Amino acid sequence: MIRVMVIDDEPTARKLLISTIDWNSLGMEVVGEASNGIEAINVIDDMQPDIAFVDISMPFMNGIDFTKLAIQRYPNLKIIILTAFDDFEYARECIKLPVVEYLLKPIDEEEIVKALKEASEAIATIKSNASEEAEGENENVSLTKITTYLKENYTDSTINLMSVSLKFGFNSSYLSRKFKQETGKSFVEFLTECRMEKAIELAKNNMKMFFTASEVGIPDPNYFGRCFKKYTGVSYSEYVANNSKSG
Amino acid sequence: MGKLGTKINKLFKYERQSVTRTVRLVIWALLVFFLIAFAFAFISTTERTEKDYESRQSETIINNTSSSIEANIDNYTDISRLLLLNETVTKYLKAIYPDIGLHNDARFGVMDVLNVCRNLDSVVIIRNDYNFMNTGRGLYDIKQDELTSSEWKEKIVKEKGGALVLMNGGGTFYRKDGAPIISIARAFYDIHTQKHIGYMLINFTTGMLDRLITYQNRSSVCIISTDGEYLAGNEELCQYMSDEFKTNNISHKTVGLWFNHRMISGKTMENLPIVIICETKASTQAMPTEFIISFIILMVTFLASIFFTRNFMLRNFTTPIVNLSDAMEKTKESGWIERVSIDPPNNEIGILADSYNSMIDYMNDLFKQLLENEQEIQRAEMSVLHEQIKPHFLYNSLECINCMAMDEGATNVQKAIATLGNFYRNSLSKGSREIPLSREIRIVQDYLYLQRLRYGDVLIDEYHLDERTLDLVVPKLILQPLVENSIYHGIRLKGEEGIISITSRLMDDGLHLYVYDTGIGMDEETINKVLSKDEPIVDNPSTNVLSGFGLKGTIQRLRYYCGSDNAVKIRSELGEYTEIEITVPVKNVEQNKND
Repeated sequence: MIRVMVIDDEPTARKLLISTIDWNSLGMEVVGEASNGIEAINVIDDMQPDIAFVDISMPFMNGIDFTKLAIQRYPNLKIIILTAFDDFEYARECIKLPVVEYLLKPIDEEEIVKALKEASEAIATIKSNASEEAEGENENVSLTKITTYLKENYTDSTINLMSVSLKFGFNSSYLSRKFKQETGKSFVEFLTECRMEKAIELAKNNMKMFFTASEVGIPDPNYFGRCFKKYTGVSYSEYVANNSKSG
Repeated sequence: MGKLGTKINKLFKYERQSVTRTVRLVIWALLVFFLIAFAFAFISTTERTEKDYESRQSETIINNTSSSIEANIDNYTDISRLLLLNETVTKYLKAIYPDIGLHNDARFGVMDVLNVCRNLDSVVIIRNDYNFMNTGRGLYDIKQDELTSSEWKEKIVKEKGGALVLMNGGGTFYRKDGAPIISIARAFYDIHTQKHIGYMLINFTTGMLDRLITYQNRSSVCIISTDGEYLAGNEELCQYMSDEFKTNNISHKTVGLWFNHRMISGKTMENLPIVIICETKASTQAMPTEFIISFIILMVTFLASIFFTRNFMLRNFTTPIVNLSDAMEKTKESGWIERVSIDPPNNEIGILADSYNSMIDYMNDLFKQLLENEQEIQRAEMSVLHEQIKPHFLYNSLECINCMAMDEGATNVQKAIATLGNFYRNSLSKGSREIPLSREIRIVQDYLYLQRLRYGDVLIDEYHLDERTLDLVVPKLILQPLVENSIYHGIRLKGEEGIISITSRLMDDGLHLYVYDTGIGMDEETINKVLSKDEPIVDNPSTNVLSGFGLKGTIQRLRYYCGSDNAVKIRSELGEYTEIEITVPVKNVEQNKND
């Protein structure tokens, strides 16, 4: 199955795209959504998509910035930019790369299916060519070095498993496994823990959520809010109300 | 010359020269050039005149001297003739053995004659047997060898009784004190037989010459023998003796340099072994007064005309040009295209100023026209834009979909479609630029309803409207962009549910509208950037597409509409709220209709 991810700030637009296309008949499945570039960076390593639909106009990290970043980190990822007329020419000016396909909103089913078929052919050739990659084990770099790096750099909102793997010369799935083995937590859990501990500290100081969010490296306060609730069990505003030092 | 020209040009271009300076420089250069020329002419003329004067003067002195000497010599020659006739002398010469008696007789005979004249040093009568009688006995050394030689005698005999002037008796007699003597020599002939019987030397000292030249200027004249022996006058002049003075014509030469230069003139006297040398110095007498006066007049006239020319040029050309260029420069610095206001003279410079002014006028006209054209084009484009969106087709399609939704019982779809239709109807509103506030509020409500459909219930809208304001007209689509800004740059970024509140108030100074949101707020820098007029609305496509360009455009539009920069105010606290206040003039619907 080819894995598809949808990145758009409008829930209805995501929903429309997902329900319009008959993914099964194309041998595809939608593995996840994100409401902007920040959220996408944080979840993309878990989803491991082959194809990503990207909207241009999004808050916190727009589609252009995300696409530039994704092209570097995931060379095999097919990106389909889905955008409104206003941004179309501008986006084409910004990213002139063959890996990227451009489609105009409002969506047209035929166009999308055609683009998906082309993409799936390309992906098939890539997958057949790619032999099982070596694990790329790099025992020289101890995991403490990576955890230290994460503790020091978690405020960088573009950091994720892939970026760290590239930086330290690991295969990302190997690193993921090794990380879990040695620390007992997944990479994402560890990174989120770093961020949330800092967030709790800020929350106790009565910081506004949007401010805390950008301070800990998740400038999207909506996504941050979800992460916070998942981590602490209560929403950020409740947490502030209960734990604020100023009372 | 061409090279020199470019060099001079380079010199002038070395720094940016003003016309005045150039003119001054040229005038000064002219002045210096002519002064040098004048000086040169003056000096050469003076020198020439001086030389003429000097040679005239020296010729006079030399001729005077020479004729005095000749007169004296003639005088002595006459005396010698008297001696020729003296009996005692003849007897002495004719005697076969001249005894002491005859000798003394002859001596006294000669002395008698000599008593009548001064300066005669001595007279020597020489017989053919070389016995001789000398009146100045004891004063002379006699060169016996010379006396007996025939050379000098032959010279005398050649004169056939005429007188011959010799120095020191032709080398036979020298004074013991070494003073030179001049001798007039003659031969004696027997009156009856015409036979040669002896010689006579009349010797006189240079005292005679000295006395002669005291009538002239003694220090400027020198008399020398042809042998170069000093005889009388200024002895220093002897050093200038040279061969060129050994002719009977007067020769000149110049000695000394600069202010010490003198003219030395001289000639040898005819038939006499005497050279007269004369020195003349330049003196003020050399220049005729008339010449100097006319020269000074010429000079003064020239200087006056130069200064007149300079002033004329400055007054008529340079100063007006400088004034004109100053005026133009001032205009340039002011940054405005303005006429220059100076009073130029009535010549080409005046025409230049007039042309400049008319060019400015023309340019201003062009600018005005351009501006008008641009405005016209903008108006036209706007109306074309309104025409292009064909509302009928849009409304009809929406109505059709609305109907289908109703048939299928999709109430939410029906409501959304109806709202969208309303939104467009109110927004387009037949292209009119102003609409009642109530309709603008309606646009905002519809807009917010549609946005909530897209993004979920992240925002609550509140309205606090003064009844009296609802019918007042406002520029179309002024609130909607502000609300849009509140959503995209305020509430959505905060990650919490937000409130958008719209308030209208009627006050003395106009209609006040407030758009308040509980978004992330704006910092001072952002507010200033949004309110600044300097930065263009669209500076690059990315800000156009992805950031709040609608807000800035709306603020600009409101400022134009109200004619005031204070039409929009922004208050904000970071993390708390943003409030945009706009003030528009009060206008009723009726008024608008009458317009």
